[in-house]
Amino acid sequence: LFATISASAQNGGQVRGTVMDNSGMPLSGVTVAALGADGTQAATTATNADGMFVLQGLQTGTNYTIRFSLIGYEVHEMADFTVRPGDNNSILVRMAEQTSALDEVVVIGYGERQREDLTTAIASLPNVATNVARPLTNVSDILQGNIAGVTVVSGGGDPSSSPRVLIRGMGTLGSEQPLYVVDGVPYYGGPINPNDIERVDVMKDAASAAIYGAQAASGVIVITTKSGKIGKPRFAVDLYQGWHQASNLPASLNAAQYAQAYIDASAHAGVVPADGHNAELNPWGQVTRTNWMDEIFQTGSITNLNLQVSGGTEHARYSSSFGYHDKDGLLINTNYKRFAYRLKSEFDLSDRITVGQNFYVNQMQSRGINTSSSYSGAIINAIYMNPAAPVYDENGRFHGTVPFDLAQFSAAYGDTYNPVALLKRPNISNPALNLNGNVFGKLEIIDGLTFKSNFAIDLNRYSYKRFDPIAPEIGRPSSENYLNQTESRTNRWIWDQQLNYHKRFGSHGLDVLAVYSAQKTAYESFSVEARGFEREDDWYQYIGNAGSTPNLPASGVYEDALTSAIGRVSYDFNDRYFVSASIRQDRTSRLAKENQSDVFPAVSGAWKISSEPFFNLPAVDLLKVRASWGQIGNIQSVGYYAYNIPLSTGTVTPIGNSGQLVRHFALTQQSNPNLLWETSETFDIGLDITLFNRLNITADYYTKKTLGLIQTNDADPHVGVNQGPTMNVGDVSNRGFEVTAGYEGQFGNWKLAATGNVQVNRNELLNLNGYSNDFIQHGDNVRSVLLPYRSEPGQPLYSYYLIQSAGIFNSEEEIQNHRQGDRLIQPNARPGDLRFVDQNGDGQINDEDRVFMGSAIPDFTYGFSLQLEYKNFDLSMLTYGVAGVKLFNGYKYTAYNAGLQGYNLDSRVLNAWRPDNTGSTIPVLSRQDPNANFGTASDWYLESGDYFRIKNIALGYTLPGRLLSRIGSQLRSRIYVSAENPWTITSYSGIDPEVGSTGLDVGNYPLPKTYTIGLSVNF
Amino acid sequence: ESFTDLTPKGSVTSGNYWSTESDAVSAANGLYEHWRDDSMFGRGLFWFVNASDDMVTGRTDAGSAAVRDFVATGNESRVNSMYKKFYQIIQRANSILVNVPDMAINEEVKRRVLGEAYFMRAYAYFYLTQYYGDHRAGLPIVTEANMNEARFARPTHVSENYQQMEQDLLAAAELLPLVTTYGANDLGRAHRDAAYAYLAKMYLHWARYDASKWAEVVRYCDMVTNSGSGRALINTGNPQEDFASVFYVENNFSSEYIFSVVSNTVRGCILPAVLFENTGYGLYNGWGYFHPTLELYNHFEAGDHRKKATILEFGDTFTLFGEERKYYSSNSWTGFQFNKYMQPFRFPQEVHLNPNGDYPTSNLSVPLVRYADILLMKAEALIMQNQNADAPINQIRNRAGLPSITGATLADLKRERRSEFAAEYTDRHVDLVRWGDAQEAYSKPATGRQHANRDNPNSPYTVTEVWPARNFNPAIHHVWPIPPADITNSGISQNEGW
Repeated sequence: LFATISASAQNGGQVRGTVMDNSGMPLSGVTVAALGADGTQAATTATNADGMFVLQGLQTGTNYTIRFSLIGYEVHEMADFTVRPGDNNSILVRMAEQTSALDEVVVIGYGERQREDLTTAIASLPNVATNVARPLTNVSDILQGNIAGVTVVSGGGDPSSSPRVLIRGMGTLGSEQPLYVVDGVPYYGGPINPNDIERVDVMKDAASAAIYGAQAASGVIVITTKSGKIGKPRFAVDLYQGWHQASNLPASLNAAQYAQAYIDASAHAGVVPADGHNAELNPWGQVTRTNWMDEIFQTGSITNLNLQVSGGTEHARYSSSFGYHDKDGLLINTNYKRFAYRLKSEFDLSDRITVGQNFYVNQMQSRGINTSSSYSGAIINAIYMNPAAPVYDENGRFHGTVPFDLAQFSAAYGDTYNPVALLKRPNISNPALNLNGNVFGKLEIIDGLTFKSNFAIDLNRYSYKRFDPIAPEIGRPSSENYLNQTESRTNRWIWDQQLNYHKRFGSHGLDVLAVYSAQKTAYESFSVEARGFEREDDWYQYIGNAGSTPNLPASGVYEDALTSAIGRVSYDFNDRYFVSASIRQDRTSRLAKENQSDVFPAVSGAWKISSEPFFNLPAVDLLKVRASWGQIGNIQSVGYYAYNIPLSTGTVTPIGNSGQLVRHFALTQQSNPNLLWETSETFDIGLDITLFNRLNITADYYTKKTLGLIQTNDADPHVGVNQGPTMNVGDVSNRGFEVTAGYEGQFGNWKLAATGNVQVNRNELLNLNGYSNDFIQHGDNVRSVLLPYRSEPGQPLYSYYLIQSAGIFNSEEEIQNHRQGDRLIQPNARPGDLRFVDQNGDGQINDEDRVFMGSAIPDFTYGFSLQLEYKNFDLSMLTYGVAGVKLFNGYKYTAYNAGLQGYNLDSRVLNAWRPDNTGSTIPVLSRQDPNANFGTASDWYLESGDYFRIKNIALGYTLPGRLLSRIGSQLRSRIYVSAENPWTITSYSGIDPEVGSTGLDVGNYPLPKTYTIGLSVNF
Repeated sequence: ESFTDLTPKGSVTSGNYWSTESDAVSAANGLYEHWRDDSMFGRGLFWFVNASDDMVTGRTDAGSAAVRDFVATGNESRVNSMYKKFYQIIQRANSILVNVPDMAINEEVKRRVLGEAYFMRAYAYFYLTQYYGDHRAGLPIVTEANMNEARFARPTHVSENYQQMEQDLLAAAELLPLVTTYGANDLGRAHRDAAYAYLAKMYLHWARYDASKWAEVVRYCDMVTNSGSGRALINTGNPQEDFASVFYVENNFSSEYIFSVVSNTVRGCILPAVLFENTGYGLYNGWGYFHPTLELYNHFEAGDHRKKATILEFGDTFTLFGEERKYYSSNSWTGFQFNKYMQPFRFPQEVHLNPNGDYPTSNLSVPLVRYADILLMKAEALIMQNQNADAPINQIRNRAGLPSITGATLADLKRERRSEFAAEYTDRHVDLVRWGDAQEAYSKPATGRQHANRDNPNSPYTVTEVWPARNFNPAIHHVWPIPPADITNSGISQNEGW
């Protein structure tokens, strides 16, 4: 920063000047004070909308210290400033944005607090501006690797998927999403435009989140959007363009290899190979015509544009932004498109009354594709599909596994979809329109006592329309066309009344909060399926043109109401001792009347040792220990009508001689009026340290227990219902340790900021005392054959429960020696088959031999980010790693297995076991599988999913600013290039180790590598 | 407080149901919902039928192989849901029997609905006991009287179930109308003859433990014959066509119909397509799951027209989607395909087939009991009582184009049942178990024809073993294992030995 100085030499000396930020934008509302030699304040004023000020009444020839202060900026002082006579010159001051975490203001529920005074575990997203410029679609993607204790499990690269965010481990088998709070209001609306984000705070412990009660059991992500500041209108344009690609894709066998593999596999099984693979009978099948992977993957493009205008006067502030995000998927014909518009304004009607509004509308349309089914997944079908088949026939229609005139060979190639047709054929439109807004009024009744009333609405309209044309080609033909259409709407309102009292009495600080909140949601949907359209043109694909609607339309309705009363008292003494206690009563419509209401308390405290008189370590700016305990209910795990289950109905039962279906009503689930809230209880002890005003360290140890885990029980089969009652069945524990360290420093022209975080979490299901079984068997499966997941007390939730394998039998002798007493353990095995471990020593391999083998939720995650600035250049890097992850590579069940319907295989089977290739880890190719090499849920499928990944590298250059005198404003521009996911280390053999929440991979949609070029302009 | 006190919208709850006549009828409709359930008579129960020597599993599938080889745990996804689903039928029947008697609705409708409930409760117990119950333990009896209890125990002997079923079926026969009184939209519902038929079937099993029940079999078979509804074999004097035509769509509710899995092109039984060639020559998504063995093929007497109606062999002419073709298969493990349910495939696909190949139902209702079973049950019961059974056996034989026999023996009866009911839910495996013949039958491997060129209908073949001999222990394997999850969820005992 620099200053040009001038002053007047008269009695009524004055100082004029302009204050601006680092980018040259004028700063309004800066407090400017002149302090005398004894520290008394001689004069004070504030900058106006143009950042200009005049300090008057100063003594000429006297030395002053002039101090500039503004929230969010570092205090700037000019010492020994001599006021000289004359007022022709002025000073120009640049203020640096606040970077010290100490003074950072953190959003807590229904309030704010300085970070150094926090008593609870709240973390903030670092480098917001850099992170929102990454080519990411979801806010939760941005959090990955940036915040200790927040695990973001990517749902892969499917444009329509969103990642799963776990704060401090998996607490329930029901739904657990963190609550999003945007500008102080619980948010359930559409995707948030990342460019609107000013800051993100994450409430991790129960004591911080408890203020949000029943919806916050899995933590709270608090987003503050950008607001207008006093000053002339400012425009911001942010634009980036990116291109992304898949990498590490598997290859399938070419046509000749495919045929030979099945001839070999048939020979091994002693069966006659299909004629389709016989080169003499079917020469067509020997020629490779298509690489299906190449056909379904593309280089996709991402475009993001954001425009913002903001500004304000002394009594009104506004900000308006428009965002456009358009992304192609990695797979053809998958994409995502979003329009977002936000308008935010605030008006001071008097010194004591402020009213404001925040309005956000967004429309999103995304097209994904199923990649998680091993029958119809697009990627696995590109492996299955016959490489001899072209994509299209000579008439431009999708080609089947064989041409029609070679239909007799179709059986060789299995019931395979043309993968390009899977992606391209259905005509899908699914716009989601969300309108979210709130209005508030704030009244300062007396000094320190404010009342705020806030009313929010959230309206969602979702339309889904899908037309599936006839699929005549050989493989998985379908002889009729279908139209499926769904319309749904969700209307919600939330009304909060908030009373806040804040007062300091000498060294005592008191903050009291009372809130009453009510919210109600109404949902309604209907859907229709129609068939038999005479023609398939776009313009004909409307429900009125249907030939028939064999299934009656379906409807879905629910209502949901919640009221909450909240109280919180915070007290601090002498900047040393801080305590806070809150209590919240929630009442929900989802439980039986007598159980609707429950109370959730929390307490927390901190001791700022560094403020004690005895503390005398100048290097230590802050040393604080804190502890918190709290309970929160989890409403998400409770069904809308769990206490009074509606009868199930449908018109699905064929009766009569005329093709009719009749309606039935039946009881299919038991109700449970005794269901109680699922509660999570967290104890947290933490340490905050700041050294040399440069290095911040935050460490937390926590235990989080989920009590009364809600799960639908199996019914006693004799009761005769599909599902038993939903009950509180058990307890789950998460224990862990988190450390975040951040450093900021400046060395000459170099500026450096580095942040690292690590998190260790240990998940354990403590008991299942209320469950109908000793364990929960999860239904996640590969072709209904492999069901690898089980939750059992003493193990993490969703653990793998598998038969252990021990290599491959290389000889008949090894098989004969694999026995228990005189019993052959694997009587059906032949050389080349998997050897399984007879855990229980009963001489046979069956489910009793299964053992627990970890889970897909990481034990350990770590992230590191680095920001470097040199003159006008900036470089940033973010890395992320996970360890202790196990993935179930179910892809191998079909892609390595010649015993199924004749699908093409992964080219790695060329290295399968053969008598002359005994070192292989892939069992022998065979048309049959009597040893159940593939049919056994064994650890042969299990692989480490650990990875270390450079999430992002970006290099930017800020163009030298120059005054645009004509519009009286300054232009600042930055251009940058960035790479997302450019480099990964993993031993996982599948496409991508980020396969989604439970870790089951059948060839799931991978994450892309993305390269972008971007520009941001502010003036 | 009332703010959070919401009435479920858009749905009926137990609290506001059971008021109108249509409530009663809709509840009765729920008794048949399992017809469209793939794990029940949609096709799932065929995994048990598949244990017989008539067929082999036409695909590599560890779970179904374990069932066929009698090494299953009951946990296999193929067979782990039927047990509880039969009890769902029972729950629905019990709910009707609790609520409908006091409803003020049309008396005729009320009688029918109650009759359907009694019938379907017994029906569910019939299959439960057939698959899971024996002299060591029956299956928990859940009725309208005890349905709200928390725990249910297995009776000490399956005969307790038979007693309950006997009561229920007699009540059903009393309440239900004759099938001939049903209009087109109600065909398929339980009716009086079906109640008599299941009484006969039930006594046939009971007679294993109590020989006095053979007389009851004869009695209720005759009740069917003489009920006045005209139950009879389809017999136009054209043996080449008559047997085959039993499985024609137009004969879904012929004189031979007693009880079937009602199906149409939207919902119902997928067995016909499950038996049809895997991938259907590229024309339709056949699944190709169960292939007839050479043993079944060789079993038919010369001149038996049921052979061609039951089995397709290489070179056989058949009509597929309007075009005549000669049968070949590169998928069949045995070189054969079941032909019994192929009529819906003769026509263009939109006529009788569900266009959705992933759920390939058809307009053909697959029989559960047909009149031929009445005749052969009667014949068996007569033979077991040392009486002459020539008349009913010869009705069956003559319809198939075979000459009459005299002094029919149990061996004749057994051969006739096999020829008549191959690939039907009548379940040869159950017959073999009942007769004590299963151990011997399964100690031989299943064989088939390996054609040198499997896409050529005229291709020569060699006979090969397609499924090795199996180890059937009659002390254990005469019943199936109850799914382990059902055992843990209820605390009942597993069938001994499994």
